[in-house]
Order: sequence, then C-alpha cells, then structure tokens
Amino acid sequence: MLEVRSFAKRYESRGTVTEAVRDVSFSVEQGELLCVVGPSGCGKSTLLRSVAGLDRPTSGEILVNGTPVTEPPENMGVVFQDYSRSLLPWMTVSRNVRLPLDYKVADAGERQAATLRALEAVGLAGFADHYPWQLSGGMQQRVAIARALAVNPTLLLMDEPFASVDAQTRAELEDLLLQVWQEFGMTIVLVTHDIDESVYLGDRVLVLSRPPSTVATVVPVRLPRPRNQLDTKHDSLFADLRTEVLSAIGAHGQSAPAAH
Amino acid sequence: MTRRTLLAIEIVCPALAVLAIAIFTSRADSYYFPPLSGVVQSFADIWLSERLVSDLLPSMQRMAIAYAICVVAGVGAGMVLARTPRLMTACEPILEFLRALPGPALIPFGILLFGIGDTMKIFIIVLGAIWPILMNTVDGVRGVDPALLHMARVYRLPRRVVFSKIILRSASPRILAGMRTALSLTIILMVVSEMVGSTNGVGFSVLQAQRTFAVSEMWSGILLLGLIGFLANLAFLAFEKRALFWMRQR
Repeated sequence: MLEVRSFAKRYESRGTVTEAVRDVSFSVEQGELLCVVGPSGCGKSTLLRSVAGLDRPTSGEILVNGTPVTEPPENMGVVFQDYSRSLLPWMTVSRNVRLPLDYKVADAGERQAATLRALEAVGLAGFADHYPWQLSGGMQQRVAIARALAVNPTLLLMDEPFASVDAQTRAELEDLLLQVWQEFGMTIVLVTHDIDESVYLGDRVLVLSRPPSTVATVVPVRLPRPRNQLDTKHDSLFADLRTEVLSAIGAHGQSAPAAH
Repeated sequence: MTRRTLLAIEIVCPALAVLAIAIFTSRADSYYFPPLSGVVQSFADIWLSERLVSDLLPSMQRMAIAYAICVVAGVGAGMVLARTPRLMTACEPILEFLRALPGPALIPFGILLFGIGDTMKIFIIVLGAIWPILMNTVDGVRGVDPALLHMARVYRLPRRVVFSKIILRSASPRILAGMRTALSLTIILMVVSEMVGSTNGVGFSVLQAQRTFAVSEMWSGILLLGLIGFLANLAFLAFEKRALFWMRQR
C-alpha cells in the first residue's frame, strides 16, 4: 500500500549540509497500523510530511498504491499534532469536517451523511454546531480526526496526534483511534515519541536511529486485538515489547528518551 | 466596579462635559464661542434641511466611494504582494515612500490632474488612506499559520477557497485594524480636500461659514464632522465585533 525506498533528507544552509535522514526503507500493508518512533530529531516528522506530499525527499522514493508521491495523494487524511492550529476557528465543527468534502463530493446529501458519520465515529455528533474554541483540547483533536475520516481515507497519517493532550485524554483518544480504525479499515502510519503508545496501538513499530537516521529495527507487535488500556498494558508481552523498542532506541540513539 | 457603574460613568461624564460647555458658552458672550443652543439651532436649521442633500450627501458619497476603493484595492494588492515575495521586495521602498508622503501634499497635483471635481477628492483620499489597509493585509497574509496551509494542501482545497476561506479570514484581524485606521484617514482627507478645492461638501461649508463670519454655522459643521467620525467608528466597531466573533473566546 505504502512503500518507502531509500528515503534520505539533507538540509543545506549557508554551506553546511545537515544530514537528517540517511537511508530509510519500509513498506506498509493495506489496513496495517504502523507506528514510527525514534529519538528526537531523527526525522520521523519529516518522513511523514514527505509521505503526505508536503515535503520532498532529497533522494529516494515514496509510493502510495504504486504511484510516486509528488503532491498530497487523494484519499489521504492527515492529523497534525497541533489541533488548535489546524482547525478553522471561524467555522463550526461540522463545517470544519465538511470543508474537504465540499470540493471532492458533488452530492450535498452525501457530504452531509459523510460528515455526520465521521462526527458520530468520534463521538461528537452533538457538537456539530459548536465552534472549535468552545471545545476542550481532546475534543478539538477528535474534530481533526473526524475531518480526516470524512474523506474516507485509504491512508491516514498522524503526526504525534496525542502529544498535546493530558494523559487521561490521551488514553481515551488512543482507544478511539483503534475503534475508528476497525470501523473504517484504513491504513494508518502514526508517528509518536511515546513508546507505550507505539506498542499499544501498532501492528508493527518502526524504530529509527538517531540522525543521520536509518531503520534501527522493526518490532512486530504480537499482542492480541481488541486491545484495551487495562489488560493489554498488563500483558507481560507488552512489557517485553516495550523494552525491546526502548533498547532499540537506546542502542541506536545517543540517549534513550523517556516514555512520556 | 460592576458593568452598570462603568456604564453610568461612561454616560454621565460626557453629559457633564456638554453641560459645562453649554453653561460656559451661554455666559461667555464670546464671538468665537457662540452659545451651544445657537450652534444646535443652526445645526438643525442647516444640516437637517437643504444642506443635507447639497453638502452632506456629496461628502458621504465621496467618502463611501473612496473608502470602498481603498478596501478593495488595498486588500487585493496586499494579498498579491504578500504571496509574491519578489514583487514585494521590489515594491517595498516605493510603498514606504508613498506611505510616508502626507496625503494633502498631493492635492495640488490632484487638482492639476482632475480639476476640483469628485475625482480629485476620491484620488486624494485613496492615495492617502489606502496604505494602512495594504500594509496590514501584507502583514496579515504573511502571518497566516503554515499549519492551516498544510491542512489546505493535504485536503487538496482549490486555490480560490484557500484564499477566501483561509488566508483572507486568517488575516482579517490585521486587515480590519488597517481598515479602521483608513476610515479616520478617509474622513480627514475628505475634509481637507473639500476645504482646498470644492464647491460643496461639509468641509467646504465649514470654511465658507468661517469666511462669512457665520460662527455658529461653522461650529455646527465642526460638530457634524465630529459626529460623522464618531458614528462611523462606532458602526465599524460593531461590524468588526461580528466579523471577528471567533477571536473573542480565545
């Protein structure tokens, strides 16, 4: 579904070349949920932005369904870290969610139905006429998720989507994500700096090394689904996988970042 | 202090000031400061009758047309300049010079070019009042959060939609601030251009009254100009509050 081949990213400013990403290759299966972790500055967000078509790799290739990415692909949803900056405060929740559909789906009834379905999926059907600033941070991020769902994406990209909310809300949103993933069945690539989160959510965890980054390791997560915050996190396998990811970052990163 | 107390002060203070002026002018017996009652009387006589059509209306018309041109051209040019950095770099020194040039300084040139008709006045007003709108639009558009533009690209929103629904809206607080400054400049330049070369208008009337020693009449015109400015600003604030409703709760 998604294929990244020898992705490399270098920045040049005033004659000095900074090599952020040296060589990263991986592929993601249809319907898979891949988490990407790595030490800070390893270029995981750059990688995601390039998959989204917002940035270009210095060298290498990104293919979505066999087509090279040169601009944002169709049927893709993206959820950014900073919900407050990606929602339009002058539009109601439902207008925000419907905005991408207005220029994609011709039939008004169909647009309305897709908007409603997306809002229901994130539990915000009752807040359609509210403005984003009338909602809590966690709810605003739900709106951003609903907007991504409304376009009925085959690929959903998430850049540290839960990094700006408190721990309680974060757990709720993680479970919400698993739920909508099941309902909509899209492929998800999620970048996070939270190792617990990556293991809890992912089918596999892709660990990047410190820059200039390469793939340190790929950890398959054999935890059973459906997962839940209590049982899954108490599974001894969860602890093992967590340690595996952490040590992969530790071995290839300068210093192991904390789990939270 | 409660809202009610503040409101009471806000009403009582100006009322006291008006009262003080009324008492002072009624006792002063001064040629320069005719009694307030006389000024109000001549206001009613002049501005609520024939001059409403012959002078007030033309003034308001010039203002409205010139202001509309300022807003449309200022926002339009500002958007284009902000989105084409090279053009902006090329134009910036010229713009800075034109902005620094006092509007009334161009009146002689305006008269030379257009005579003393409406076109000259509109020309002068636009050339003097457009800059805050243009410059603020440039700033506002440059300041649009890149996150919003990324979002727009990801969801493949058409260009015109990005402009109208995201960039323009995002820049609107700055644009409106510029529009407010331009509004008071518009009134100032309207008066000045009418005083220098005109055959009608409120500014013309005030100068004419002074030249014919009709002091009450002169004051009534000044009062009218004050009211126009005050009410225009009030209306603008109401409009701004509505347009920027989404900023109040942030």
